[in-house]
Amino acid sequence: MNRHAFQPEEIMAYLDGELGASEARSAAAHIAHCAECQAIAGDLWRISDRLLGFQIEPCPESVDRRILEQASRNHGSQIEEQTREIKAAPTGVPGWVVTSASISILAVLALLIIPKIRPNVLVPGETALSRQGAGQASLGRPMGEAPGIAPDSDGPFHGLGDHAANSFSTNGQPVSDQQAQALAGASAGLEPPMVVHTAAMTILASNYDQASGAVEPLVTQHGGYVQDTTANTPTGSARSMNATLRVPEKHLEPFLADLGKLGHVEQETRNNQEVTGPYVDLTARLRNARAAEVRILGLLRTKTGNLGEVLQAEQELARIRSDIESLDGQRATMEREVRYATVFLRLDEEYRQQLNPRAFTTGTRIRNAVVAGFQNLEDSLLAVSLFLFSYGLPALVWLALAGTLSWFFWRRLHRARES
Amino acid sequence: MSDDDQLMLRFQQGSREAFRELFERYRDPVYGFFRRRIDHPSRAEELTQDCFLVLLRNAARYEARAGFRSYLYGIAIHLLANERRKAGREVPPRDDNSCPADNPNPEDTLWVRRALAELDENDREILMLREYEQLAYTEIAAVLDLPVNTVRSRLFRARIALKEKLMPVNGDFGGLL
Repeated sequence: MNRHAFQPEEIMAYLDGELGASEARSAAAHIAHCAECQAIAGDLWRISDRLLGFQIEPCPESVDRRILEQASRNHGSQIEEQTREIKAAPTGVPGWVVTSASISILAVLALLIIPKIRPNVLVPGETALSRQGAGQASLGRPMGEAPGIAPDSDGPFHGLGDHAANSFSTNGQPVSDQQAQALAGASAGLEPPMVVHTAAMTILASNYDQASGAVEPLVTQHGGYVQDTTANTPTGSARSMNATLRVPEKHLEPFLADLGKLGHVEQETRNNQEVTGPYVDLTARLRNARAAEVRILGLLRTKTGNLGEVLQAEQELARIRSDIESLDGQRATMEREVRYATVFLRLDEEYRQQLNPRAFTTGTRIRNAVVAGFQNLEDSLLAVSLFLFSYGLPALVWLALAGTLSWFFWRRLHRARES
Repeated sequence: MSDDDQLMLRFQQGSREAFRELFERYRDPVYGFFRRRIDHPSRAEELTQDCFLVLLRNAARYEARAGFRSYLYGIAIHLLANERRKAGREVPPRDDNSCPADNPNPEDTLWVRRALAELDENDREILMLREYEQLAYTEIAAVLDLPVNTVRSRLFRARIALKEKLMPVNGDFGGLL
């Protein structure tokens, strides 16, 4: 085994998707031509496949109800206190009473609710696999994770609500646009039409400090957050602040109304862009990519033949998962844009020129004059020195030349007169 | 930063929808984590509940350093250790004959349970985190506080050991060692 470029552990790491891209390529190329490593990979794969036999039933719904109730009650600092209360509460009531009551309530709710939900949940071709939940869905993946791709914690059905998860066709049939449109809003809890709201507001505040300090609490109060902010505080002129604020779409109107109270609204613009079409398209593409992922996972799980074909399937799986991640990110961004409206705020200070600027004292003025005098003296001396250094030497040369010529002509004139 | 981390940070900021999304994603995996390691389904249910309650309780202190999955399964591992400590003994995977009612392959489940029960405890935990919880080597290392190379070597050892136990069943394992 040591003569191999890759140790069995490395083969395992390759199949687990734990090697870097270049190493994975080398490993894939090696395995494709090495019967011994193909046998190792086959063994590891079969072990993983056998482990899939350890199936677990989905989580009981009673857990859902309890946890989600707590989550809906708990908020911020209240979380810890209320959790303690909840954990302490059952000690006073016998467990069987709580369990019996829960089962009874759930049974009644199930009888009332399930007939209404069921038609929307199931689609032709659905099997028990899609009902297994995330953990079981991920078991559909063989040990041979795509090289360079981290294990997908989400699994093929993760990241979607129950409706979306159950809309997959395990036989790999693409989901139609109509199905996607019907389920798009449901998966994100958004109702069509999906609109991205944007607003811009310019406010002139007489009390700038108070107004600028009130912006962030106001945003928080409406369940939003400050995305970015820039403050300008020039000396001798008005201060201003530019901020990008994100508030839940449902709070946009009251938020703008409250924002307008901070001062005089000089300008307000609104823009609403519908993105239902792009969102539906994105959702359909995502669903189809996930259906393709499920199909390939199924093939990988059942295929036992040529390893080259398996590696090819894994490469395709890696590409599809990359697409899924990208589409998922785009969809999440779009949902965020819809859920949270964007408000561009410009807050200007109502600046008043000072009528009685503070005068300098006499001492200060004398000191400034003296300092200015010394400064001028220094500047003038420096200027003379610079002039002499710059023009002194040429001037001396020309003066010497002119003097010599003058003296020469004067001598000749003087001698002529004497003779 | 992963999508899970972003959801957790949104939950920190007060978004209930973010927690609901996280819960939807990890409800079954966390329940499966306990169910495969605890004898009693009702206890696995309670521990699943406890796990999410701890997540709720500590949401304010969450920092997206090692990743959400490492954090979540770190909580689960901690709860499991407490459970085992309370029981005063190690709780291996179930070795009884009960299977979920909708399990299409009860014999496979039984066989896997028995094979896993025979593995070294540490190796088994790494193998299960990899195979069932689908954690990456680095995530397993973070959860169990082990070096990544140790995780890799133990995982390989566990798989080889499991292969030895597979031999009588399939008899076609000639590649490994």
